[in-house]
Amino acid sequence: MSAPEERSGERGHAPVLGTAVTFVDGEHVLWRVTEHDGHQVPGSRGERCLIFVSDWAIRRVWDYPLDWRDLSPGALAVVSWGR
Amino acid sequence: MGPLKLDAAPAGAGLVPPIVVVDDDPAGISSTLAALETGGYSGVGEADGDAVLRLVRTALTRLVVSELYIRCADGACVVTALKQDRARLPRLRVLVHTRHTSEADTAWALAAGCDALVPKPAGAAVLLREVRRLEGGQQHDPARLGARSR
Repeated sequence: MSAPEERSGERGHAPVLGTAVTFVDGEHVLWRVTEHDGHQVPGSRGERCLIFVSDWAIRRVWDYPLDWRDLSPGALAVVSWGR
Repeated sequence: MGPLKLDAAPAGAGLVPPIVVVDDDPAGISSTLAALETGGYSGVGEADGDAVLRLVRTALTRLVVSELYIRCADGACVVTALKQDRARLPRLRVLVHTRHTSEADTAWALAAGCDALVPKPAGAAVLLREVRRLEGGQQHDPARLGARSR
């Protein structure tokens, strides 16, 4: 395959929709959460998805409440465990 | 490279299809399979992208743990090819476990449609946590609590 620098220009992740949210879960892990347009995602399961990013892992979640930005850190942690 | 292991199911879990581990580095396959075994999962290792597609489509695989940038005939990389095939693989989840950790690599993995990403190196506990999530396991699994070291 081509070098990563070349590959990176071939396509990018869907743009962020709205503002990001950060929270710390019960295991003291800092997460940054962003919402993305899901239409162009291969294997899309919905119109939008959430991406949870920490130093340890990245999670994509398709099933989440509309008011996710208003949830408590504990509730967001539960949402991050979804799929 | 052919499958490294063909165990049928995780211990005590009945007839569950094995997790398919995709990596162009044999050592990467071995270490990932070993990590999965510590969580009671069995896996099959494969390095060839086209063989991965055949294997996943015939074995009713639910979860693939894959490196990035593994070529296959169906698409730019096996992650994209698998995620695009919802007609045949509606429940398949793909976890990218990769040594390619730049922002561009991460953006690529997300654009490819991965359901999760765990950068290498990672401890077995970190990888298993994400595997359990994608397998629909409980969030507060006692086996994973207190085991967050990479």
